[in-house]
Amino acid sequence: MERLGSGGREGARRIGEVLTWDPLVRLTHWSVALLVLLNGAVLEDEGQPHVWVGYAVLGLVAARFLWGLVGPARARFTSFPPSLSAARLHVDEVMHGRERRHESHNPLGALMAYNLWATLLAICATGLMMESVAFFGVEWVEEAHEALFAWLMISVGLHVSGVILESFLSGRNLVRAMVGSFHKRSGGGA
Amino acid sequence: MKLAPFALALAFAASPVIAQEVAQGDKIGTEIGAIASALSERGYEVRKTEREDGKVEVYAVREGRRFEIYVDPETGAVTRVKEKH
Ligand code: HEM
Repeated sequence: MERLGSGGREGARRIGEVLTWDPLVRLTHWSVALLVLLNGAVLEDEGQPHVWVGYAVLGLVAARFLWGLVGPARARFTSFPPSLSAARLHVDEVMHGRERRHESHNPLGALMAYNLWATLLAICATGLMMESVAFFGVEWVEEAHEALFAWLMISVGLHVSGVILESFLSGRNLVRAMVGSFHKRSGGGA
Repeated sequence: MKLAPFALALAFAASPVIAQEVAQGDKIGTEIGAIASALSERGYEVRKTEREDGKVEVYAVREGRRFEIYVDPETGAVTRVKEKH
């Protein structure tokens, strides 16, 4: 693994003005996104692979959860606590064109991150229930599983819109920070 | 020991049923209601029924095992018993 700034100040490297997220954040993010796509659009709901993919998502979110407790400062939950009032303030600042720079997720993005994780966990939980003897074939569990997935899709739509909007407004490419650089840093960036 | 009579009752209730697991080919009914009650009589707890590709699909639990049972509503015969593991 790369240096994560064990000095601990940021846990990320700079690429130009964009701070790259640490490798675990990037890995869990894109793996979860890929697996969600796989389970939602490619694999059959009924099959065993769908269940394995669900377990993998659960594992990835769990890993990210641990990282949120012990990882580098920027990835920790304490760096982006869920706060409605902070989110409201953030929206207000953005509307007035005087947004501050946030080292971790901006307060609105933080709420979205928690929403996405909570939804993913709830989807996994109802999925596990459907596999259990107690809830096998129980209709409301299945309906909840599907409704939660629909909510996830809505959330992802808002999430991606938010990322694009924030990138636009702040002039910093947030997607690049989540993709990171697969090359050694070179003069031209990226 | 409040549980003992209960366990005993359960044992009696369950015992005649043990030999009657459904298998492919068994005729158990052409309507959802009849299929469901035939399965209950054989010790299955029917959780859900739905129509899938012209078959009746039943989700049922029997002695802690999960089954998906497919029945052809034309002939009333079980076409497939799938146990989930
Ligand atoms: C199923 C799809 C997706 C899910 C479940 C998802 C979930 C998340 C979560 C939970 C976070 C917080 C990351 C963390 O702190 O570990 C996050 C951040 C982020 N996601 Fe996604 N994401 C998805 C798709 C995408 C897509 C398609 C993009 C590309 C536009 C994207 C771009 C980002 C960016 C740039 C961040 C960091 C935002 C910031 O700077 O605060 N995500 N995502």
